[in-house]
Amino acid sequence: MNKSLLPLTRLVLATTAVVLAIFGLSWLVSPAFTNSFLSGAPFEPIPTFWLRYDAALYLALALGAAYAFRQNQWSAARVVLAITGPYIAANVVITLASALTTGVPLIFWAYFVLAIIYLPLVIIIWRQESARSV
Amino acid sequence: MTTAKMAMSVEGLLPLTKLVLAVSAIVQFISAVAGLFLPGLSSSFLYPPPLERVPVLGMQFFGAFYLANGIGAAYALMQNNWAAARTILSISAPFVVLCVVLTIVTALSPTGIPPIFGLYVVLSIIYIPLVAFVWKQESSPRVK
Repeated sequence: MNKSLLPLTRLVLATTAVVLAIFGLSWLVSPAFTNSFLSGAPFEPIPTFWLRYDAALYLALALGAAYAFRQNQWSAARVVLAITGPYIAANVVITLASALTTGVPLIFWAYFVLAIIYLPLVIIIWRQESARSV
Repeated sequence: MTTAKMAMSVEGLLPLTKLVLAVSAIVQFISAVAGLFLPGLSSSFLYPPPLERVPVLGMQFFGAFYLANGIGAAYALMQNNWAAARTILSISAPFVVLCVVLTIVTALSPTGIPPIFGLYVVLSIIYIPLVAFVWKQESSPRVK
């Protein structure tokens, strides 16, 4: 029997979809804004075509998160979290490695803080939903 | 009794669906390794001129995304149920479609695209109908 998702799970999925869509759209529509404000020195600017391919990934994942939200079942939601959890964790590692070598733009520390809020939430949700599914 | 057991059994994915998921996972893992650990090689061979060089860090963030997507596809394959599989396909198919569109736009721009992107387009136009076919098959009620 498929149970509906817990409110926290739905909140995390919805937030994931919205944040991914915002980033994806900004990269697609305004690569210059991305290179100036969402990234920036000391990182090298990302070529426009590359940002747009990145945007395609983000938008596709936003769609997947929205679809999982709509399906309202753990089988679907955990697949999205199985992607976003490792992705955010990898980003944290890459950001820390960059911070120790070349340095990172200030805004990346905001992303870092959001990441260390997001990751434990994913773990909590995974545990809660898995316990219900047994 | 046999009918009741059959009714209670959980249907796994069709072989073609599993194949599509497996190929999705493998391709993404290969792209992840290339992006994360061989960014220079990736830039030279997988995304060569006339495209602008992608900074190593950009390549690595992209590689991280492919790694995560590969994990998701492998996980959906392991779960062996349509709810998980269709969530993955609802990500990968739009991504591939968007990439085809972006590739065509870039090809028509003054920059142009490297020949290897022709191969990516061919693979994409094999993949997208397969996903549509798999989606249709899995969504139809199965006759036992």
